[in-house]
Amino acid sequence: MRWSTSTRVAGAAAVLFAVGATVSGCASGSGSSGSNTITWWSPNWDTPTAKQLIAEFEKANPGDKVNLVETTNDTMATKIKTALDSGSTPDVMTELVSRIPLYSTKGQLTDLTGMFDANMPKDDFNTSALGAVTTDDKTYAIPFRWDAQGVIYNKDMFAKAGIAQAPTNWSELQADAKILKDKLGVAAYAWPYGSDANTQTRWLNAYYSNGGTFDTKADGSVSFDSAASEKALQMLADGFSDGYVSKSSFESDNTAVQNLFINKQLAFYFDGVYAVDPITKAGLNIGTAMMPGPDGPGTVGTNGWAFAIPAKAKNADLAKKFVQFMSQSDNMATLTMTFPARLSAAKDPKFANPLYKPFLDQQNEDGRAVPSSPGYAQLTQTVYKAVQQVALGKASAADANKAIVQQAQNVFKAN
Amino acid sequence: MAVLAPPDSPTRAASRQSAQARAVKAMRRNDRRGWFLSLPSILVLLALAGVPTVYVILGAFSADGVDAFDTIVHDPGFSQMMVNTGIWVVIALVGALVVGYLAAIALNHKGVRLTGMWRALLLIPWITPHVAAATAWKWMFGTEYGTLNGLLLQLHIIHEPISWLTNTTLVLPALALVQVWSTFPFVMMMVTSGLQSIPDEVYEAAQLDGARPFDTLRFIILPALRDVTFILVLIVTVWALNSFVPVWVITRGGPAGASTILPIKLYQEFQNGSASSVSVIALFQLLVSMTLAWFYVQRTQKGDR
Repeated sequence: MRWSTSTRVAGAAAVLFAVGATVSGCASGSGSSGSNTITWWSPNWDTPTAKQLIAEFEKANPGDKVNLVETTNDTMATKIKTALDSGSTPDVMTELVSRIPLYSTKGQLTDLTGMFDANMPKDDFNTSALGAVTTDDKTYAIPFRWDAQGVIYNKDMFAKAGIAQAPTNWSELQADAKILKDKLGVAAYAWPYGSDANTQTRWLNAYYSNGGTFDTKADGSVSFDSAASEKALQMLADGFSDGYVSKSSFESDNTAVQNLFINKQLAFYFDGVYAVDPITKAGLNIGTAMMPGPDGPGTVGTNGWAFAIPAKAKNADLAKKFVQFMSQSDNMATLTMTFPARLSAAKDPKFANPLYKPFLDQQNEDGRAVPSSPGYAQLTQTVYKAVQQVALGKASAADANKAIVQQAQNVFKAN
Repeated sequence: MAVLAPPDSPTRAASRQSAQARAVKAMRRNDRRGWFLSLPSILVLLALAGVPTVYVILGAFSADGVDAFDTIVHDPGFSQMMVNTGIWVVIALVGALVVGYLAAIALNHKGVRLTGMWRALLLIPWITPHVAAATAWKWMFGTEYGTLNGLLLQLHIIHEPISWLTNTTLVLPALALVQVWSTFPFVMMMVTSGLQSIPDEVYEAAQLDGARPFDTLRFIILPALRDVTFILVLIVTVWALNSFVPVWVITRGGPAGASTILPIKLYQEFQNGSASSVSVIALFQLLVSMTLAWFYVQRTQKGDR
């Protein structure tokens, strides 16, 4: 078959277009190679404020540009891991503090220790926050937001049930929950057992509250308290068989639980200070309190968000300049929805709401950073399954805990 | 006047051989042209599929891969996961075939009006984005506030809400229902094409012979659709084996591992940072899919001959 010239040219053009589209598609979303442009991956809940701060940065630095790429809570961990493993990275990324060690131990992040100076002194940062992103005295991310969880409760529902104040320990919480269920006919509270990450956060709070720790030893192994883990599983299963913890727990992530609370299907739940404003705007009369533990205030895992610069960022110098700008006290206070990681930024009037105080007390007095060992992230699925098994009554806490102990031995072993 | 050489003369033989040689040469030239034009696509396919496949195979047979295989097989949840995968595939396959066939046969009936409109409506599950569909189904399956329980309670079919997603026995069939919902339209389309190739005279003859509807189905329709059915079994099985979105979006493999199937386990190992475990599970899925693909190719090539 003889093909006309025009057919051959059209065919070749189509092939070239297809190859070019494939190559450019594979390269999209990565850092910018221009000398005055950087790409910043930032979560979607920060977008309005992020755009405002980018505009201020670009105005103060004519010629420098920042491309904002949105990430989402569900997908960011996978997206960032894939980007760092492939080497096709943005210049700056906002990432959860507890995940930073996963990347820094593989040499995938830039050492930012040199960024601390008189304008950004180390001692102005929350110690736990900075400690969580520092390995061998090298800091691999700049934390800008630091959170702890507490209790958010519906004052009107509590008053209707005849409960005068929020519970101060776990036994009181269980007793109040039974009263709320009996008097109001709705579940007292719920857990976000529909999400693996949210479930692990709650397990960590209960683990810490029962005296558990993650201490790194000289040989690189990390200690794990089996007894505290078993008690944590039992604590998180309390109330399901009695009906005062909502069965929707297994179908819900944290956002769904918050919606149940806003719709008055729950009398209280556990969340961070970022939830206070949206719930107040929804018209609920709420109170806040510290997380109850076995004998008083519990100890919760504190976590937050940080700016990191990948080791393969194409424009590391401009990226550092941008991170330095974003880490100024007033900019940090503008960006964060909760408490800033810089102590000077926490003095901003927006953090003076009395409802915020229990959360600040929690993270300062009874908060412990989420473990920085990379092995912690590898516990997620095991913890998730174990918590659900015990809460559903499919296994005892002792039996379910064996899988967590086994996995902890695998992931926290010596170097 | 030209004189033609006799048919069996050496001249005619040489002429025939020359024509055959020219024809072979032209065919080879066409083949080369075809390969040349296909080369960019082949290179892209090698880069996007071949390289990852080789990477998976190398990872699975490395020392870490052998250890990972041992760990996975001895994991207490391994047998549950394999059983879950088997149940999932069977329900997804049988469900899609039965519903797809019923829909196609119903719409092929002469008494049905507006068949175009009905087909378009029944195609909606096929064209709906998977994540959006799975999210909607998650809400519908909700124990206390889901629309499915609400409807069943209103119709007095049930007296208390069913825990579709938190009951470890019900969760897998519930999720498989979502898979059936999204794949039956494809079965319906393929079967419809097959049904339309059966001449009306065959149905008329059967009717004249006193065949009942079930006899028509058994002795005319199903035999005529044998090849289509075989292809559909392979395709729907591969889809079910590779299906990730409905389970991940709705339950993340829970509760307590009750809906964890192979693709979910693979992603969980990816999240755990265990590259060798990912390779082992991916290799297993690849082997099963390739076996099914081999049967598919064999069948289609047999049909071409």
